Amino acid sequence: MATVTLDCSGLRCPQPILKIAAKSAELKSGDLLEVSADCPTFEKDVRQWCDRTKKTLMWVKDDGGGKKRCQIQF
Amino acid sequence: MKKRITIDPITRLEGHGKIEIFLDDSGNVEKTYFQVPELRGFEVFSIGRPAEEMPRITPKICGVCPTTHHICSTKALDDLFKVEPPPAAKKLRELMYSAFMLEDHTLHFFFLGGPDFVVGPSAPAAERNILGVISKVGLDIAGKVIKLRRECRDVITHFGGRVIHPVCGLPGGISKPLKEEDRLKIVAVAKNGVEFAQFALKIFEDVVLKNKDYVDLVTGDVYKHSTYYMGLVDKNNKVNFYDGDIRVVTPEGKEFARFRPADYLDHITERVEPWSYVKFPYLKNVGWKGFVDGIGSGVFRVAPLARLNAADGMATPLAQAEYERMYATLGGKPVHNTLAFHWARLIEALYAAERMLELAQDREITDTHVRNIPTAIPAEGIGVVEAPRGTLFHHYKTDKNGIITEANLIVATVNNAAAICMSIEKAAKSLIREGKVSDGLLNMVEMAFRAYDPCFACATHTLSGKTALFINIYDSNGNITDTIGSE
Repeated sequence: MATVTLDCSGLRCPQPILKIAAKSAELKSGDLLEVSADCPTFEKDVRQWCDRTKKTLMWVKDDGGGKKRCQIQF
Repeated sequence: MKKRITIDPITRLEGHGKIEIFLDDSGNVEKTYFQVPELRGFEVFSIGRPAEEMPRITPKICGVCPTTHHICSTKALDDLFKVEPPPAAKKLRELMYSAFMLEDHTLHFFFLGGPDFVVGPSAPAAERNILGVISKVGLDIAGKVIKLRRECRDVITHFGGRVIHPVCGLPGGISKPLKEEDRLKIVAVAKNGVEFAQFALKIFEDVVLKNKDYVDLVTGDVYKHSTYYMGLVDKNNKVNFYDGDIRVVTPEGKEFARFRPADYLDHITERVEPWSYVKFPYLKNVGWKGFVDGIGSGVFRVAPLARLNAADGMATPLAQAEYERMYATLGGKPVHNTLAFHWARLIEALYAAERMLELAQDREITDTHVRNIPTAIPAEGIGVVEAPRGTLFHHYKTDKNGIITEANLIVATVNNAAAICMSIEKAAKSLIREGKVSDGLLNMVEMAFRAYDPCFACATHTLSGKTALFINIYDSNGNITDTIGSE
C-alpha cells in the first residue's frame, strides 16, 4: 500500500480533479493519494469525485491561507 | 495579351484572403485562385498542453467566433473525460450559444454582406460599408442593430466571464448557475431578439425580394452550384446549432448520410493545394473530382443555406414559417443559389432568438446543479457544433495525464473552401468579359465568397511544418532592398 502525494497548488477548477482522475490510473486498490490544492471549490469537488467513483475520502484538512489537503483511499 | 487582376485584400470578411484572376488573350477569365495567405497553426502548438486548457486556448483562434470554439472545445472535453453535463448546464450552454448565433448573424447581414444589397453591388467602394448602410436605412435602425448586438454580447459576457474569449465551459458542465433575476433579464433580451430578427427579415424582403434586379441576381446562374449539403440536425431532422447528428443530403436533396459526430472521419477527409493554406475537405464516400459540382463530386457546403437544405425544417414556429416561405419562393428544396445564404442566415437568426427565448423561459435552467465531476481517464474526445459559418469539429487525443498529443480542428469555413473557390471562378467567368473590368464588377466577384461569411482567421493550419513567410525590407523610397525567406 503506497501513499502518493499530488500538489495542485495554483490550479483552478476543474484542473485539480482532472489531475486526480489522471493520477488514479497509476494507483492500486488500497493506495492512498494525498492532494493539496488552493482552488476555492476543491473540497466540494473532491467530495463529489470520491462519491461518484466510490473512493473513500479519509479526511480533509484546512492548512490555512486558502489551502486544503485531503487523503483519498483507492 | 494575358492579364492578371489581383484583389488584395478582399474585404468585408473575417480574416484575410486575396483573389487572383487570370485573363486569356481575349480578355476572358481563364483561371482564378482564391488564396488564403495567413497561417494559424493551432493544431500544432496545442500539442503538449493540458486538455483542460483547450477551451481557453482555442477561442484565441478568432476574435469573432470565440464562443463557438469555446463551446465546441468544451464538448470535446465532455467526450474526452466521458462526463455528461447536467440538463441545466446543457441548456445554459445552448442559451449562451443562441445569443452568440443571433449576434454573429446580425453582424454579417448588416456589416459584411448587407452593404452589397442595401447600398448596392456596384456602388462606390467608399459607400459599400456599414456607414453606407446607416446612411441608407437611417440612424434609428442602425441604433437597433447596435443595441441588439450589445444586449447579446452582454448575455455572452454574463456566462462567459468576459466580452470575448469566454472561460465558463468545463468538462461536465458550466462554471456557474443562472439566477432568477438574470433569467428574467435574458427573457427580455430574447424577446427583443425575436422582434429584431423579424424586422431584419422584413428589411431583406423590402430591399432584396422587392427589387427585380436583386431577385434575378439571387436566382440566376452566376451564383449557383449544385453540391452536397451538411449540417447538424436534432432527432426530428430539424436544424440544431448545439447538438445532434450530422446529416448530409445530395444535390437532389436526398439523405446521403446521417452520422454521429464521433464518426466524422468515416465521412470527411481533407486535401491540400500548393497555392493556399486552407485545406479542402470533401466527402470521403463520394471522392475528390476537382473543383466541380454535381452528384459525382465530393464537394459539399455548410453554413446557413446548407443547414436548411440538410434539415427537414426549423424547430421553432416563426423560423419554420420563414423557412417554408423561402423554399416556396425559390422553387423548393434544395436551393443551390449561393446568394440565398443571406436569406437563410436571417431565418437562422430568428431561430436563434426563438430558441434563446424558449431556453430562458425554461424554469429548469435556474437549477443550481450545473456540473458533473469528471472521473474517467482521458484518451480521445470529439466535439461538434454548428458555427455561424458551418460545422465545426474539435478532436483531441491525450496521454493518460490529459496532455494533448494530437489535435484536429476542421473549422467551419474550411468545409466551404472548395465551394468558395468554385463560386469565385464562376462569378469571375460570368461577369468579366473581353477584358472589361470595373470596381463594381470586382465587388460582384467578391460577393461570391461573402455570401458564405467566411472566417479565414479560423481556417488555416500548418501543412508541412514550414511557414512560407518572406520578409521584405524597404528603403525610405519604398524600394525592396532585401528579402529574407524562411524556406
